[in-house]
Amino acid sequence: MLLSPLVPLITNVAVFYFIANIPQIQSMGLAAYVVFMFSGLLPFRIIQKAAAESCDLLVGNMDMLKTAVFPLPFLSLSAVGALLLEFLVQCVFMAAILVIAGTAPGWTIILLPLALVVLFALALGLSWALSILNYALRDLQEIVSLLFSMLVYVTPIMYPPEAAPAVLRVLMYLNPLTSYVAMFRDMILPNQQFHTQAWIISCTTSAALLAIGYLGVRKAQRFVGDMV
Amino acid sequence: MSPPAIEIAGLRKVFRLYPDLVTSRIKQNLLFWNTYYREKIALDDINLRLEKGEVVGVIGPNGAGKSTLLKIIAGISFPTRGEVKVNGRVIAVLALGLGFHPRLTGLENISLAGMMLGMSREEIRRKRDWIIDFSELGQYVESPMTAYSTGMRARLSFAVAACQEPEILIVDEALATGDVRFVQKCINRIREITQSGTTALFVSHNIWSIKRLTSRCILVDGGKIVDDGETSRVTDRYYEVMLRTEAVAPSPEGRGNDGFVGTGEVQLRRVDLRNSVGNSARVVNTAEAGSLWFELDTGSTPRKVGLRVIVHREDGLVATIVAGLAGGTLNGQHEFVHQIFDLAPGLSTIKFELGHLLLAPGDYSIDLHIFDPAEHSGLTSSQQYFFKTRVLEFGVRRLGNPNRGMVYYQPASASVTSWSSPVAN
Repeated sequence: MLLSPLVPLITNVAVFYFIANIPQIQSMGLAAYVVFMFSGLLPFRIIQKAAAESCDLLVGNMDMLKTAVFPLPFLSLSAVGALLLEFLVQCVFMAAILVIAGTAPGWTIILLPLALVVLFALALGLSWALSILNYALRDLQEIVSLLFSMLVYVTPIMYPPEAAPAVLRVLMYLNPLTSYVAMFRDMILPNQQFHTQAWIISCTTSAALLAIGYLGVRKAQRFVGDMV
Repeated sequence: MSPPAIEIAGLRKVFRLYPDLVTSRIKQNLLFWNTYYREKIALDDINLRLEKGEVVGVIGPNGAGKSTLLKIIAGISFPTRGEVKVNGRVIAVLALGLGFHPRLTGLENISLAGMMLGMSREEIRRKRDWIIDFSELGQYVESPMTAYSTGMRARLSFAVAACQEPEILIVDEALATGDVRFVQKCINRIREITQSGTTALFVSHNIWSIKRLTSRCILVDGGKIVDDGETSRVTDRYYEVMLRTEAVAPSPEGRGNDGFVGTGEVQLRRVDLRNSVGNSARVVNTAEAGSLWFELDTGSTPRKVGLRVIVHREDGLVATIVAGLAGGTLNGQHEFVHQIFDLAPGLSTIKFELGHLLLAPGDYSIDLHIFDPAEHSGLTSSQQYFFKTRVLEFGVRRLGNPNRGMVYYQPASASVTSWSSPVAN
């Protein structure tokens, strides 16, 4: 579904820009707000989808994994690879929105390849970890989808952190996804202060999760034939 | 000497059985000093060596550990202890239909399943016509898999698996589906593959196909290799193991009673085959005398009953009928029992004296049909008391004679004579 990110975009714009009267959002102007929102929605949705789709990878393919030698890391790789394709298509949407809004990204856009690697490293690491964890916990999807539907409010996607109450702001800074969103905004939104800290946090989180996920999936390879 | 294709030393596989899927596992991981699982030793102390080009059958009762052994050799499961060395590319057909997606067409599924078995795109393209030809799907390869019958799916699946000539081939019960002709075709193909120097391992409960394919056989029971050697000797041993398993398994009373068709007014309680000395046996020798015992329960009313006792060979052929509806004698000698039995209320036992057993070596099963002779036809379930297939399974063997390709031994004598000698009256 190529149009799928447009639906939350439109509903969010309707709710937060036209219905709710939040001064910080109103002062941005409609075009800038759409760019602001979409640049946050893009990385968030990739992680959300990666998490949602990964839960069932191991358990859902149990019959196959029990009867054939299958290199386990590739299950998540193919799922995340499909997401990468989707992401690239959505980048085209992003570009179109930027053209319509009449804003140009700053020089920081040259960091896009790095940001992509960091984002998809997180998606892959999360996918590896969740697919194994779901074997132990089962029905993890329910928890994960619930978690992400709450996370979307503690990540600065629909409103800037300044517009949130103090409690929520603390949660936002504790949420690792915030730094990924900040990373993408650094590249897309012009005239913004560069969040060096966010880049460092993102890189570290991605590397750690990738390592944990990979170790887990390698270990899981040994019991995958005996799964019940 | 070239290294063996498969070498296994001191293999042990222990499964952890948890009482439920989630809670006990989490408890185990958090409170690791406690034990929340039961251990099941699936394989213990397995030592096995297969030279290159050897074709070996693996037999044994259900739950003996055969499939686990194959999975470990195939590299899907890993041993708890011990060493497994496999030299060469392995193709393991552990389940038919692997890698098939129901919404894709047959052709697309060939590519998909081929890749799952480790074939390259180029290889799949070359083998595609052969696969379509072997699976006899014809134009159906263009239709999606959902439109296929179970047999078609199984045929396509086997064709994909059998299109290559790997160094090591592992097949687990794959021949269970498909009609007799296709099974024969599969066996021929497997023979072809093995003749080209492939090392092969087969698990099957079908002793007939094991005998046709292999010269060496391994008998696995209770996670151990019980016997290893020439196929005909090991398969004989298999019957003995099955007999022992029978003794441990639910009592014959239970076996006789469930899964029958009919009114149940007369029921089978116990069934037994006894050898010439009168001991209960599930393996008897050709040419020896034997007897067949049935204990019937008529409930509270006396009844007249007729019996039909049919002996099937394992491949479905009716080998002989011991007792039946219409009587018939041949030379006053060969005759099956067509007697009507007057049974008193309660339990009564009927014994069939079998005389010298003419059945050729093989596996047989007995179908029992108890009916009311007054209703004569006795074929529909409203008229019959009790009908059950496989009330008893037994093996017949003949020491020193491995020929099992025939149905029975026809008594005969020979002499040299002239072509036009008069017909003896």
